[in-house]
Amino acid sequence: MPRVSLFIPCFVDQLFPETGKATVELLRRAGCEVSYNPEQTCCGQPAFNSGFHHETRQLATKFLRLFADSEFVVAPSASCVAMVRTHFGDLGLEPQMQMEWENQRNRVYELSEFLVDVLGVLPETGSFPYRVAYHSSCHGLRELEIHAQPMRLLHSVRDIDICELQDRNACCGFGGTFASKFSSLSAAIGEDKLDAISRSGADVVTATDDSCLMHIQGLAKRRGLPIRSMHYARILIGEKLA
Amino acid sequence: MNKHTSPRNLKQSIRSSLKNRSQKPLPSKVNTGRAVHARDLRASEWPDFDQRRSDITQKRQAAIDYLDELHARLRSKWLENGIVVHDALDAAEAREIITGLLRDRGIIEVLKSKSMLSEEIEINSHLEATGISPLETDLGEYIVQLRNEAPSHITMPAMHLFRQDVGKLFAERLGVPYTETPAELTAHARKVLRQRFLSARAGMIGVNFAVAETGHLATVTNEGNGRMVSTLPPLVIALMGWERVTETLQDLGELWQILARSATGQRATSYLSLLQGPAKSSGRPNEVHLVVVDNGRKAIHRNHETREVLRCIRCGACLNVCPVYQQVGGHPYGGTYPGPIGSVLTPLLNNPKEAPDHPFASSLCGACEEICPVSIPLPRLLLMGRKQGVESRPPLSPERVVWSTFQSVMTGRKKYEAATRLARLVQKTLPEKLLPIPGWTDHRDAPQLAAKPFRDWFREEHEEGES
Repeated sequence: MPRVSLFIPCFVDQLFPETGKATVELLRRAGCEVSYNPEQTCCGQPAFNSGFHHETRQLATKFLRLFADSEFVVAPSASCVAMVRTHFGDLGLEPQMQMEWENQRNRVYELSEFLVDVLGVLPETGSFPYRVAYHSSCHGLRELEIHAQPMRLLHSVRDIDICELQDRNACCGFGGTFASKFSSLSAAIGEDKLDAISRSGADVVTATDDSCLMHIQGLAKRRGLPIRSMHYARILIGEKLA
Repeated sequence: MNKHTSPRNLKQSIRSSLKNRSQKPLPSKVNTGRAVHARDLRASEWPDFDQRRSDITQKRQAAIDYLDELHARLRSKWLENGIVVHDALDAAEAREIITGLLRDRGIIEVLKSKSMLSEEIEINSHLEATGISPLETDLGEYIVQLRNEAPSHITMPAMHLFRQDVGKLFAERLGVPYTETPAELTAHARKVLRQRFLSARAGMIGVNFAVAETGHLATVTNEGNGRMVSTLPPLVIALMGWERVTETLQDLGELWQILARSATGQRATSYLSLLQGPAKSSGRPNEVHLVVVDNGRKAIHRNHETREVLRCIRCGACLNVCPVYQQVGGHPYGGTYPGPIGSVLTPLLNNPKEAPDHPFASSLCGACEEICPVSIPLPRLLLMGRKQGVESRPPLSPERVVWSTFQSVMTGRKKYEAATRLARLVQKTLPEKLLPIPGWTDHRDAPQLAAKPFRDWFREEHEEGES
C-alpha cells in the first residue's frame, strides 16, 4: 500500500478544507494509506515570489525536515508543488538541506500527477451533472506539464459535461502577490478569463489550484455572475453544489 | 503618451492606462493575438521545431560565451572591409559619436531604418536638439514618429493602433484623403519617403546580427527601407548592441528564419540586407561607420545569473503572449523594451532603482519562456530581479517586516494556528464591508475562512477512526 504524506497548503487548509477532504478521499479510493502532519504550514511561495529569499529559506528548511521520511508527498496545488520541486533549488539552501531537497523533490507530486502518472489508477468517481470548464493553471501547465492528467480524471466522472475554454492556456491573472501589488491589472486579466468562462456556458470552473479559482470566484461574485469555482478533486468525488 | 516616459512609475502608469482605456477591443490584445496565431502556424510547419529551437538556443549561448573571441575576429574583418568601428560605453558616448559624424559633414537630415538600440540611446531627441532631423523610414516607426510617440513594441512599433487610427493620422499630417486600406496608406508613406531616400546624405541602420566569419552586418526588414538607407546615401552609420554577434552565415540563416517565424509568423522576412562595407569603387556608400554599444551589456555578461538574457534576438514574441502586455501595451513600461523581456532588461540596463516595479509586473505565468525561440528563462530572471530589488532596499522596509512576520508565523505551528483562529474571530465579528483586504476587495469579493480548517477535520476524523 503506497504511503502518502499529505501536503495541504496553508490557504487550502484555511479557506478550502473541502479540497483537502476530497484529496484524502481520492487517495484512499486509490488504495493509499494517507497521513497528515499538522506541523506543516506554508512552502514559502508568497515570500519567494516577492523576492524575500532569506525568509523563504527558513520555510523551505522546515518543509524538507517535515517530509524527510515520506514515501510520497501529495498536494492538491500545482503551484505549491512547483515551488518545492523547482524553486527550492534557487534558494541557496545549506548543503545538507540542498541534498535533502535533491533527494525529496521527485517524491513530491500534484494530486492528478500522482494518481495518473505514478499509481496509474483511476479512483472511483462520483456523479457531477454540470457543465464544467477546466482552467489550466499556469504553474501546473508550464512548470509541471499537467493538463492531460486532470482531464483524464474529469472525463471519468459520470454525467459531467466538460467544455473547452477559449484561450484555455491563458493566465487568469492571479499570480500570487501580483494580485494585490498590481490589483487592477490582475483583475483586468481575470475579467477576460471570466468572459471566456461565461461564453463557454459553464456552471462550474475548475483547476488544479484553488488560488486561481479564488481569484476567478471573487471576480465572478463581484460581477454578480452565477459561476461557481471548485477544485477538480471535489468534482471527482461528486460533491454536491451547495 | 509622451516619448520616453520614465520607467520609474510603472505601477502608476499601468493603473492610469487601465483607467483611461476606452477602446474595445483593445488594439494590444487584437494585434498580439494575430501575431501569436501566425507564429503558431509557422511553428507547426516545423515538425522538429523543438529540436531547432534547442539548437538555436545552444548556438546563441555559445556565441554569448565566446563573445570576446568573436569580436576579435569581427574587428579584423571590419578593418579589412573598410568599416570604421566606434565603441560606445554608454548612451551618451554613442550619441556623441553619431552626432559628431553628422555634424562634421554638415549633414542636417538622417534617414533611419528601424533600430531599438537607437531608441535605447534616445538618439532622435538629441539629434533634433542639435538641429539634425532624424526621419524614420520603417512604416510603423514613421507612424509613431508622426504621432510623437515611442514605439510600443519591439518589432511592431505601431502595435497600439488600428489602421483607422493611421488613416486619420495620415489625413491630418500628410494632407491626403482619409483611407483605411493598408495598401493605400503604405503608398502615401512611400510617396513621402521615396523623395527623401533619393536625396539623403546619411542613413542609419540597426544591426540584427554581425557575422564573425565575414564581417557582414545583417539587417532584417520587411519594407526594403533598410536596404535603401544603407545603399543610397554616401554615409551609413550602423548601430549594434555589443552582444548581437553570430559566428557563421549559416547560423545567420537559421537565426533569420526563427526570428521571422517568432516575430511576425513569416517564413522569412521580405528582406535580409547584408552590408559588408563601403562600396569598392565609386558606388555608395563610400563611408560606413559602426557604433558598437555596451550601455550595460558587458555587466550583464559578467554576471552568470543574468548572462542568458543576452541570447535575446528581439523578436517580440514574449510581448505577444504576455497577459500583462496584452492588457496595457508597451507604453506604460517606459524605457525602451516592454513586455517580459523589458521587465528583465530595463532594471539590468539601468539602475534597478530606476525601474523598481518591473520585475514584479508579471503573474509569472511562463507563457514568455514557452514561446521564446532562444529559451530565455524569463520567469526565473524576473524572480531574480525581484530578489535583487529587495536586496537593494533598506533592511527595515515595511515589506521586509511583513515577510519576516509571515515567516515567523509560518515557521511555528502554534503561531500559525493562533493567527488563523484570530482571523476567524475577526471575520465572524466584522461584516465583510468593514474588512477590506488591500489590493483584493477593490476588485473581487473576499474568500471566507472555512468554519473548520482541514487540520481540525483530519484530527477529529482520525480520532474517530481510532476510537
